[in-house]
Amino acid sequence: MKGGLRPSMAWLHTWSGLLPGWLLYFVFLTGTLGYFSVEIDRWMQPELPLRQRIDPQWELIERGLARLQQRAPGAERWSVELPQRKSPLPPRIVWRMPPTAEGARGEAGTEPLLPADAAPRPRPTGGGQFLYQLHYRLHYIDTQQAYWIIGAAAMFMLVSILSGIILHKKIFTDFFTFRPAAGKRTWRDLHSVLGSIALPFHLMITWSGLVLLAYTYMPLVLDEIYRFDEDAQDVFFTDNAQRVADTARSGVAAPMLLPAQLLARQPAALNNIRLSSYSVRNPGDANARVVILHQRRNAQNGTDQQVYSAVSGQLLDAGLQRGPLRQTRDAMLGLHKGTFAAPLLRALYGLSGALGTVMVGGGLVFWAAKRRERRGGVAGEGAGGLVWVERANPAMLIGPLLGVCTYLLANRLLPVDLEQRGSWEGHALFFGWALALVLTLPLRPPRAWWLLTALLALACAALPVVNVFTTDRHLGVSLPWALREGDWVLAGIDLCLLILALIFAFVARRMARQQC
Amino acid sequence: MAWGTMPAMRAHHLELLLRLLLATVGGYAFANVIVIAVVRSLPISASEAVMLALLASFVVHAVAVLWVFAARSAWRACWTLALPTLLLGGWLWPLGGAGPV
Repeated sequence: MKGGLRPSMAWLHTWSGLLPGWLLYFVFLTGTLGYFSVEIDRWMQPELPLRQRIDPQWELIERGLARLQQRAPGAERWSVELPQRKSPLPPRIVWRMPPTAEGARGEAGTEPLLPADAAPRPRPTGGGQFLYQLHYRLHYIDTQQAYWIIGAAAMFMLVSILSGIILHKKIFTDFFTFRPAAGKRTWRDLHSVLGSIALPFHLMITWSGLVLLAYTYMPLVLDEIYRFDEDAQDVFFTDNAQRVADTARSGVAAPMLLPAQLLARQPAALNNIRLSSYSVRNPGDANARVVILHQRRNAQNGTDQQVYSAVSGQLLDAGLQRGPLRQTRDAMLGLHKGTFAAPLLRALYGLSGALGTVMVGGGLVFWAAKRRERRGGVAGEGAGGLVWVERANPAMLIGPLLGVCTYLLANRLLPVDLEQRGSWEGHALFFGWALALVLTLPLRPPRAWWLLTALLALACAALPVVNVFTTDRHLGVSLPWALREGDWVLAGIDLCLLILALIFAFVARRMARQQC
Repeated sequence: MAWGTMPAMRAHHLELLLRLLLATVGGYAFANVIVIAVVRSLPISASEAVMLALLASFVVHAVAVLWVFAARSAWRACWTLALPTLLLGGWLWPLGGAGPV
């Protein structure tokens, strides 16, 4: 464009970030919360026992197989499913009988492995999963449409990051430039400091997010390379390990290894992994196969299953045959989801995500402040897009946070036996956000910022308090538990809310003073 | 705004509109054709080719967008994107499928 590279990149950086800015902010926020979806799930189901029963998994499998032997001899497939990281349901056994003589699918059955607990069923809830899904599926609209909207926003983000890098050639100086209390320059510094600190994360998360849904965004690639050859595409999508596991019965009976024996023969592959399920195909046959599903994908090779011979214990397939590029792509997806990360690394994921959220928000505020300065006058008055952005900014940036609080409040306050309870929790999120918009659109921006920050502080503080009156998983119980057992999930969430309440209250007070 | 400046404004807007179209539609087509052409000419299997193409396509598109807005004129951005897209597209079109996985 006219005026050289830097001005044109500045223009591109501004507009590619600004146009989808509110959406990107929402995606960053909910995606960041998604890294803690398991913890939030647990907080939102206070009926679950405090002690997360983690029975020795190999013992559970042994018991499950023994039960299956009695319950479903001659089955085509047995599975022992263990509690998942994502949804801590009690372990159960599943079986499927061979196809009938008429060729119909065999009968399937399932039952809990352990005797039912006396504890009440956990309340239905959207949980942390709902927040996590918001960041790529949005809500109230068709999933495919949502994918395309998110994808377009992510492309804008990628362009914005790249033009931002060209714009800030002095990226390492920016790293150390932060001028607090310098008005709009503070927002600008905040934006570029956060942008450069977490730059590798932002690039990674944006690019890998696009790669995650690449089949949707780039359908031509698959069609063009396979020339609409459906069979070849099927082979491309079929799990190789699946084919190894689906072997026909030989008809020759053979004794199978016990899980402990398999473990003893393959210690390197099986020690130190959390199992998701242990299945046996063709039990009792010479062609019996053990299929092991992992709880977590391996970050390096992306595999999550292994197939063994149940008779010899030999490893038949360690997942897909993956070329180096396939592995690169799987590693990108693993990096995006971060499910491989241990607690400390996951906390860093959360921190980087939070930095990204503030970076996007800071950029939006800075844009409005800079325009206002150039144009003069009072914030929130005048005509055109600027006023609109200025007036909506508080509700679009703090509103989603308020919405998350109303979502969590709804989890505690809605009747436990309400129909469609999870959906109502979801409505509560958008109700809280809409309320923020309605309350603040008529206000001048400084007042709106103050009002919403104060409301947010109140909402954050209210949650642990409401918790005391509605559940027996409040700080009075969860804190001693955490101190005694070192399990900080429940207490940690309440404590974080209290700390956030203090921070927001402090910010709101400063805002109130500045207005006087 | 004075009436006299209107034609200039309009030319400016037209140029911007052209660049926007180029960046979105043009960049998307450019990215698809470039990555498919590159992976088809590499000695790798079809499934690996798909992976490389998917990984690279978003970066190629983003860089194309940067180029569209960095180019001295919209016209220049237009032909520099269109020429390789049409040439490589013309080369790809009669090719058959890549064969086995």
